[in-house]
Amino acid sequence: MILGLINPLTGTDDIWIVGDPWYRLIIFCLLAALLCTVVLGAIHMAGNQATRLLVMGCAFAAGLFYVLEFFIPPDAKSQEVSLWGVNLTQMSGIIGNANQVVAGFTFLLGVYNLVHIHGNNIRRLRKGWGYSLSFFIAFLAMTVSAFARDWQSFFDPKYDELKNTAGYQLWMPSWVNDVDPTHALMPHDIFSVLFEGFYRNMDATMFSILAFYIVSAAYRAFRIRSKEAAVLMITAVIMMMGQVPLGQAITAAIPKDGFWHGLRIEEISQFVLNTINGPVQRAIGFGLGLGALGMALRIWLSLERGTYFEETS
Amino acid sequence: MQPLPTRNWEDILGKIDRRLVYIGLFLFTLAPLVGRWALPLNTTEPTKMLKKAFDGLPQDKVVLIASDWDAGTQAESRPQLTAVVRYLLRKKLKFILFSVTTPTSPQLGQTVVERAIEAEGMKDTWQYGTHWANMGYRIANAPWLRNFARSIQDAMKNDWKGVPLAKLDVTRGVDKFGPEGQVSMLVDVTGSSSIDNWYAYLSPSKVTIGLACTGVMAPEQYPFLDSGQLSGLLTGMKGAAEFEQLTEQKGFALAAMAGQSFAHLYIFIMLVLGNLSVILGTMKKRARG
Repeated sequence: MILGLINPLTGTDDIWIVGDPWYRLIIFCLLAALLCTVVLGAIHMAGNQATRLLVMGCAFAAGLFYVLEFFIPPDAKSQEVSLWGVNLTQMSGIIGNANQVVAGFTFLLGVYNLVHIHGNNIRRLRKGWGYSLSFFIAFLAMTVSAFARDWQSFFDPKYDELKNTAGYQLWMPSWVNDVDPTHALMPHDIFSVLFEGFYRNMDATMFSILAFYIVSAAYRAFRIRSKEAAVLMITAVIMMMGQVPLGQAITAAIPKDGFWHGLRIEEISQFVLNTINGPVQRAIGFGLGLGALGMALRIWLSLERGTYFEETS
Repeated sequence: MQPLPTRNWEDILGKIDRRLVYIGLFLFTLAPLVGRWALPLNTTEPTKMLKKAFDGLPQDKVVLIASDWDAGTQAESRPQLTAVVRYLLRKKLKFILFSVTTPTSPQLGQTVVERAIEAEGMKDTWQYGTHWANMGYRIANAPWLRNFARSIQDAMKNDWKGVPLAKLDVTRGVDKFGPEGQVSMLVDVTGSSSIDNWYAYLSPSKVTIGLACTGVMAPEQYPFLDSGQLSGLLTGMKGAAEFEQLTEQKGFALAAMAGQSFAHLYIFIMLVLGNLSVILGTMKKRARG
């Protein structure tokens, strides 16, 4: 029943009364909006103590669902977990997909945030407002060109099949939506120019600047002033040179299969990675895992101090 | 007029202007690329393991490629994805692309696959929807990942253009991971820590997991190679180059390794110069008593 209620497109008629799935969806959305308004209104109007209890209750219930779904032994045949007639395994799928929707709103929040900040910069002509203007130009150019290119495919189900056939009417000119098969690898439309020509190269450039800073920082800061620094330096050089052909050429004279093969720089580098680095990473992993478990328990049981859990003045 | 201060070797070596350092790196990286210098490369065990994992895959199942990189790490991730896809094409293994970390990844992955198909001369025989598909971007939060590990069809209902999975030959019926399911292997080509998701959620299904990550991430993955949770590993551009060499591809990574080699050499030279200034300074202090 619960599955049918929260899944309006596939839910059974006896719950939904209305047979048409699209009407069900509309009713579902309206009911969900109403419920959200009531809950948010209640949170807003309630006192600090009640709000805290509500948040703690929601956090505990959300965590409890996954605890039950994980620990209750599944049905031997279907491998699905049920509790009092409710199929928790199927429900976890719906919750997983619902989470995608909720997480999708964070993108909207991100866009709103950017628009708000850069809009204020332009409105008040703050220092560097030109950069804010370039944000709006870039944002609109990418959004409009991407939607314009794919617009026809959203509404015409036969678009992909027919787009290259003679007589098929394309809604957009070729500079907006280039379907020429000879341009398949680099369409001559504005979105491809913006994405492949601008975005991809600019993002790569931003990241590659890091290499210059790393060299400069290594040169300035990596000075052997203690035994520990010396060990670190030797290891770094072995790792750095052991990873590239030029470094490997230093010990290329040592036979690959002979007794001394372990002295080849790439072998030493692999030894450091496997035998020294491996256990250290494992130890860090265990520590992180235990820390994450502790943190998860603290959040689930509302023992964590911070937002929503502190006394507010 | 005051005389100009005399600079000794200690200062000259220890305080090289950063702009000169930058220009040096630029030239050291550029020269081998322009000169097309080729250098021999040794193949490491993790790369061989990945190839072996691919070689053991059954033809009737599909490979899932988590293309989790954006343009920032394309110098490493793009050649890795290209090398992996080209090898899958040669093995005639069907594959499905998707992404869980960066929204721009599906577009970048799509271009890589289209070019790989072109490079392998399979444009007319390897069709979208029949032999491969792009599922686009999904937000990887824990509830969705649990659902994805349980049922692919439930978690991904359509491809990146909104076409239902049931309408694509390659995705129809693809629902479970591992020996009992329809997905034989998951390869994560990533510039982030997305592989942790697959260890946590897919390891119980016994699906083969491969990884192609950036160079800085690789050391963290060795415990998983040891434990067998990871079936193979490509480390940065070097991993891509090794894989190209191992599978006899003529790709970008092998050509670019000379540039990376000389960049590493340059860093080494700069470290020596910096430390030489420290040694000279120490010697001078000792001489003064």
